[in-house]
Order: sequence, then C-alpha cells, then structure tokens
Amino acid sequence: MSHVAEIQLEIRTNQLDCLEKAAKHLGVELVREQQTFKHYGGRQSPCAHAIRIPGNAKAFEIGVILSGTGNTYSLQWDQWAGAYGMVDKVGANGDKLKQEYAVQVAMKHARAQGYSVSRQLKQDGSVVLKAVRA
Amino acid sequence: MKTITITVNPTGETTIKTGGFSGSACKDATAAIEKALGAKVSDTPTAEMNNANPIQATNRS
Repeated sequence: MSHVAEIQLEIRTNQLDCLEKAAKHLGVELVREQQTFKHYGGRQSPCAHAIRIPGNAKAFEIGVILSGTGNTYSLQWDQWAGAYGMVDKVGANGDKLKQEYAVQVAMKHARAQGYSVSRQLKQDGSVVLKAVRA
Repeated sequence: MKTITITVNPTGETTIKTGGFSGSACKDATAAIEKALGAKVSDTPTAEMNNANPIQATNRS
C-alpha cells in the first residue's frame, strides 16, 4: 500500500549540514529549498527541503518538513515499491540515514571541541567513532 | 588522554562512553554531542565517576 509516512528522526534546524553530509555519504542529495517532494503517482507534497537520488528521475523523494516550533525538521516519504531506489539508498524506514545522521552530528560536535575522530564499521553494522584529545 | 567512544547502531541509536576525565568533566564533554543528537533517554554515571572511569549515555533518535 502506498502512503506517506514519517521517518522517526528529529533533526535540529541547526544540524541541516549534518543531514546534507549524511545524504551525500549514502549517494543521495539534499536539495535545499526544494519546496515539494515527489511520491506515489507523481504526487507532490510541500516541504522545506528535499532529498533526491541524483540522475534518477523515477525515484520518490524524501520531504524535509519544518515542525510547528520552527526548531526541528521531520522527514516524510513513501516507501512503496522501494520508493524506486530510495529505500536501497537510505534503508528501510530510513535506518541508514538515521545512523549516518547521528554519526555526522557526533563527529561535528566532537571535532568542534578539539577531538580527533576516527571511524570504524563493525561487523554488526554499527559505526564506532573514537574521539581522542590530549 | 581523553577519549569519547560513540557507537551508532544500524538504526541510529547512539551510546556514548568516556574515559580519561576527572569527576563530572566527562559529562561536560559529551553534553554538546548529546544535545545535538536530541532527547536523552538514559544517563548512567558509574560508581567510579570520581576516578576517571566511563559514564554511559544513550540516545534514541
């Protein structure tokens, strides 16, 4: 069944750069100020920014939607038919995007405090960041 | 040497451990990261907190 659903991830508006880096890491692109996102049957719904697959016009998009408070974004998309490629990129329920976003946020804030950060992928799919400072 | 180990599982759930800090300095060090990640779910200081041992904090985004 096709429907637009929310990815369970709250993004602070001042962390949009982390979402952008996470998207790039997964081979998708955050298009700032794209004000609609595409889903089932060519429908378009409003958003503040959108995530798309570059060079794939058929893939559904993810809408980055500003919350009522204006401090956070939520993500909405339609996973029907694998969103024509988007699910492969960002994972079922957006899990890969949620993981990479958390990685980018943690790296940004550790570096801002003067830490050197190394990154390691574990066999279970977890990402381990080691932040070290003298 | 101060270390912060951040583990992000495949669904984005995050665990933070610190080492090499004195007293509650480890909390200060991780506060910015935790805040940026979103609402904190649990934060469990260890008995050795005054002896530069790890605390754990878990974020579910």
